[in-house]
Amino acid sequence: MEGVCEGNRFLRELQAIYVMWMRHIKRFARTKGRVAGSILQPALFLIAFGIGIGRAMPMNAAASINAGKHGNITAGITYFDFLVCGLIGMSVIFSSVMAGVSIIWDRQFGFLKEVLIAPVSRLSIVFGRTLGAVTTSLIQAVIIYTLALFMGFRSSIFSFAASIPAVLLLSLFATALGIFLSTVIQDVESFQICQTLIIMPIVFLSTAFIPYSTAPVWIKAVLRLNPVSYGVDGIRHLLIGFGELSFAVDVVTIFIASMGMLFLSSLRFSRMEV
Amino acid sequence: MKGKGKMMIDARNLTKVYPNGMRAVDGVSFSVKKGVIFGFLGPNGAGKTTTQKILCTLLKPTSGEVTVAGYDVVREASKVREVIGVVFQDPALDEKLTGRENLEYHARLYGMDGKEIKRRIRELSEFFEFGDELDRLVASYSGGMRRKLEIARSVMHDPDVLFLDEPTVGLDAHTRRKLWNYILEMRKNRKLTIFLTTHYIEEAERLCDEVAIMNKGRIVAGGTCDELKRKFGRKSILISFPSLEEKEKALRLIENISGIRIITERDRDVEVQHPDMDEIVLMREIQNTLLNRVEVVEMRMKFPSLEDVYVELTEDTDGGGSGHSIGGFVVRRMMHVG
Ligand SMILES: Nc1ncnc2c1ncn2[C@@H]1O[C@H](COP(=O)(O)OP(=O)(O)OP(=O)(O)O)[C@@H](O)[C@H]1O
Ligand SMILES: [Mg+2]
Repeated sequence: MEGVCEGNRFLRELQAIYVMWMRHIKRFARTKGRVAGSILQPALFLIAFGIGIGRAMPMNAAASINAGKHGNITAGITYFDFLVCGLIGMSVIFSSVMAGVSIIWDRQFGFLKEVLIAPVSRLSIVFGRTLGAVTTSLIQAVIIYTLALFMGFRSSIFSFAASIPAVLLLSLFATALGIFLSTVIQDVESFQICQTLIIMPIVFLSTAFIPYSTAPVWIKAVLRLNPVSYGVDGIRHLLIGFGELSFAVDVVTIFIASMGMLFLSSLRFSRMEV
Repeated sequence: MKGKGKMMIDARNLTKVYPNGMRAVDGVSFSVKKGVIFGFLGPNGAGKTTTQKILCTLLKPTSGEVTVAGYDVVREASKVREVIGVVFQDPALDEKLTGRENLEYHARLYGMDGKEIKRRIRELSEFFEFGDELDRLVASYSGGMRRKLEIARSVMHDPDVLFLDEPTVGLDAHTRRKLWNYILEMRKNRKLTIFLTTHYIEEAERLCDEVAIMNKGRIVAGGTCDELKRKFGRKSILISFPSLEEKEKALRLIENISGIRIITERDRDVEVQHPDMDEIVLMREIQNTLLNRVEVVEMRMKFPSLEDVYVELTEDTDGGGSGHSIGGFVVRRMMHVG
């Protein structure tokens, strides 16, 4: 036997991760609609919310109501600044979940069979795919960040660099969630339902768009239950030095949530049959 | 490879019940020796693809013991995966990648290094005459080109056991023949064992050392093509006459043998069968009847084609008592196939 002896077992796992990563990137780059969409959608949001509503409203106007309770609010943060972080979070989540969930398309088009019978650990497959999703999500984050800078977003390149780990964790969580969903739903049709019932709510019922400090009590409870809230808040802390939850809690929560989700999805994926 | 002699595939009482209650494979046993091309025949829905999916670790059996290259397909799935190559019935390519990328990524998953991959792709590309099509996206390929690519991919990593589920569906006659030659060549050079599912009887007859016929989740017959024909085909006797007059004369005489059936009567030839009489006995009977009365050019026993056997064995056996007894008999026989 050539090429498949015990000795290069480790190499094979590395190559599997590489293959799944590279494949994701190539597919991403070759899907023109996806590239365009991933830039246009957040740009549209930036314009609609950013210029239309947010820019005029200084964040501290809303936040000052709660100023007594939250001493960490930096003066001069506008709703636009707040929103840009939320939009980065949103686009990272959307693209990551899609990357994870695209396993259903692989199943539909048959390629999943090829992957499932490969002599590599399913963990490597999940890991490679996640890495690919994280990479493309990061690219999108950079695009939105750059667009936002042109529109008056105030942040330094250093704070953007500092926020990358938080973006990665959020992306990890969302990709793992996508992979998990792909092991639960059987076909492309039921993905629509998933989108409305799970993916939209975890984005729009998070601190991505709802300022925690001014939210009603019951919304606060919902925000607290949603791991995405912590991820986005963490990004905010690092990117604009403004957060409404404790940074330590943010980091710990999103870390635990993404590891837990990754574990769950790997477990389900490794038992997957076609 | 460990234990279990030289059996490259060994299935014992393999059963698969799908979650919806469908019993697709129902207590099937067979084995395939190293270097053998094993044909798997059966009508639509017989359970062939389900069986292959279990053999190549894609599905878990509901019960039964299955080993491939000596490894258990459930407990040692990763060992099995290392030594098999698979072409599935349904396409399994990534359409957004080029043909070359499909081959390369496959090879990487099997631990091959860059140089080896290049060499192997060049080799296979030459054989399958891919030309520069390899650098186009698979989405733009014709059906036959896709199939060829899948077959090339399945042997990229030089497997010990190859599973092919209807590999030549949709290929033109020229390509199909080339592929047959390739399969035979591979087997000769590398002692490759091949499990080939097909609907083309001709393909099975050309390529396969042994075949098994599956129907409704059970194997109803197995052995070499010749064995099957001898065992299950109803032989007939073919008689040729020098002229039409002689034939007419002979027919009138032969009709007196009670129970005889005239199957075909073409030109100066007659083909007859007798449901309850051994062919040798029938031949002698005919000889005695015609002796010194009619001139005969030739009289010989005609074996049925594999297709005749196949059709006979896979006819609807729901109500038929005879079909059932064939099934029961054969399942016992199957124990020593391979
Ligand atoms: N995922 C599934 N869930 C439930 N039933 C299934 C599933 N896959 C196949 N079956 C059923 O199992 C039986 C055997 O199917 P299988 O695909 O193994 O047949 P086959 O012999 O390969 O047929 P064909 O020659 O048409 O490819 C069929 O009745 C089929 O409907
Ligand atoms: Mg089939």
